[in-house]
Amino acid sequence: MNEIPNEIMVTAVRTPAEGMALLEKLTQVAQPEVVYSRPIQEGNYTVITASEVAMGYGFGFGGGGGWAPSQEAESPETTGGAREAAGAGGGGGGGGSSMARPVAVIAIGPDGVKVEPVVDVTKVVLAFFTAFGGMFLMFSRMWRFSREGG
Amino acid sequence: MPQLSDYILWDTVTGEPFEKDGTVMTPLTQVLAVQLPFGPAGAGFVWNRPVALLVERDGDVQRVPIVDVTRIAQVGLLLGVLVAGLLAGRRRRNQDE
Repeated sequence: MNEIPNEIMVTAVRTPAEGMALLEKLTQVAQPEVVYSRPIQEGNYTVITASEVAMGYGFGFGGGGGWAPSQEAESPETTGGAREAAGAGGGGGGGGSSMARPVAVIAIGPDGVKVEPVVDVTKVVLAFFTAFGGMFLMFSRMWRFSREGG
Repeated sequence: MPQLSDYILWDTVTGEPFEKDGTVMTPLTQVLAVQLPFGPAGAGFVWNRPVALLVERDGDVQRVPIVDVTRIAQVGLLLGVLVAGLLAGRRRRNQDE
């Protein structure tokens, strides 16, 4: 995986134009070079990792201004109501997130090309507990409804 | 008039082929990219995952798929819950009738 996602994540955006430029740069994450690592030579084998990469980013800028008669202008002793107070302000914000997860390791050796999958046990266990929790909630509600109904 | 394809890209992208001991490998990835510019605001999302490797040796081209076992396990578990819920709901309806 190359450095493009890291470069994007550490870039500061100060103007809408810079935000749009960064949005354009986000398309570089769509290149295959981001997913496949550079080949690493180890003995007779060349190893490449293949990773899933996801990246999201958003920004927004806003501003406004207004005017109002000042307190001085409202008093008849001063300037007869000609003075006004004006103000303007603006701001912006943004944020992003990126994720990369190894999917497989590709080993190229004398016996050909082998693709070894990488299992993310944490994600599988989390999915198992989420599924189990969902099933438990669903069945407990069904059981309660059938008891109330019957 | 802007087209939907200006904002959303869903495609299989072919990477730069590389050669090792007479074997040429071409990586393939699947990309979902969304770009939404709204005046002074904007948002973007890119999802890129490996799909397969095209291995060319002695004139033969072989497609070696890259299987995401973690994703299959996640989707399988969630689908299992959905199916169990549907079956349980159907059984309960049958009992009520």
